[in-house]
Amino acid sequence: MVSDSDWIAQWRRGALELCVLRILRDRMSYGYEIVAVLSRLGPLAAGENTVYPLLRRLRNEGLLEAVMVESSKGPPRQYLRITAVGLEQLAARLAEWAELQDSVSQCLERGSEV
Amino acid sequence: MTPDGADEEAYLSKFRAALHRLKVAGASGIVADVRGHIAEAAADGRSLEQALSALGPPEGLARAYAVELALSSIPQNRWSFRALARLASLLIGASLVSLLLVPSLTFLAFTFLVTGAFSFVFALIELLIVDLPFIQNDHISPLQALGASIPIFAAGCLFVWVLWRYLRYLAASARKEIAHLRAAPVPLMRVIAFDSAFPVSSISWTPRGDARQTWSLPASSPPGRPVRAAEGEDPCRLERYPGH
Repeated sequence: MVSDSDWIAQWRRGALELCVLRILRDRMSYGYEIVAVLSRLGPLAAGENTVYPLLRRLRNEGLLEAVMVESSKGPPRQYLRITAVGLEQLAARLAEWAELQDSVSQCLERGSEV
Repeated sequence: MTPDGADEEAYLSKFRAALHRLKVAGASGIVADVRGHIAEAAADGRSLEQALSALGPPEGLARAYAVELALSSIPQNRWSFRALARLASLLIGASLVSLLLVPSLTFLAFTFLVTGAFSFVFALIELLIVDLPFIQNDHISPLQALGASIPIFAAGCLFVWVLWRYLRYLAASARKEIAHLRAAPVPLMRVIAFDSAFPVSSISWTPRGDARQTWSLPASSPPGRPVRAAEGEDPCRLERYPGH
């Protein structure tokens, strides 16, 4: 049987990528800040060792790009910005997410009566 | 170097070694990223100890990168032999054909365009303004020359068009083959074999336009050895892995 933590991990893994893209849609941010935002979202809280590799993959796939920005608190920071491809991908995934959410809601409400 | 700096370097050095062991592409960039993340955490008031403990053991972090990057739907710099062979044959074939076609079409296009244009201009001058003694047109009247210049020029235009279409076709074919080459699928074998210490329980993938397929990896399969190599499949997705 799948444990509770495994169950949440499975859900989180799918949703995390979508949430990271959504966080970066409005403004660019850096890795640590993204982890901090996610940590405020309960079950979506993911450790650095999950988020940083994900950010790297999204960059490799061209959905995000890195920009160096001067920081008053130390050396220049590497900010991440969503690309045009990333925005396209986000729009498509949001639509899929809405569809999935709707289907799951229907199933949970009505069971086999759907 | 401060004790903190030494700790950070020791962590990053172990992390780099683990990335190399797992054959993760772009290891130096990833190490630089993690160094930046540590600096971000420090700038936000975390101690180095807290920052490193949040990252987890260097081997675990390297494994997380290896797994995450193996999920990539756009493989980076993967070259398939089939795509490479196709590109090579296209280049050889196109070179041989081009060797004959391009100079011939260029010569024909140039000759017909120039002949057509000159014939038209000189015939018009002879017809309307003045007789040109240096123009040899014993058997053709200026009116006939004028009439003939138009189809000659049109033929020149046709050759230019054919040449243009041929070059565009060549460029499009090369672009297509290079795109094939860059998007060559990651062999499934690689994903299964990349880390013997990592217990993957099942792998799902969706070949283009096909239904999702899943493999369950037998617990008895020797670690690090491919269970099956699926040639030509789309990049696969690791479905479950503990700890993430």
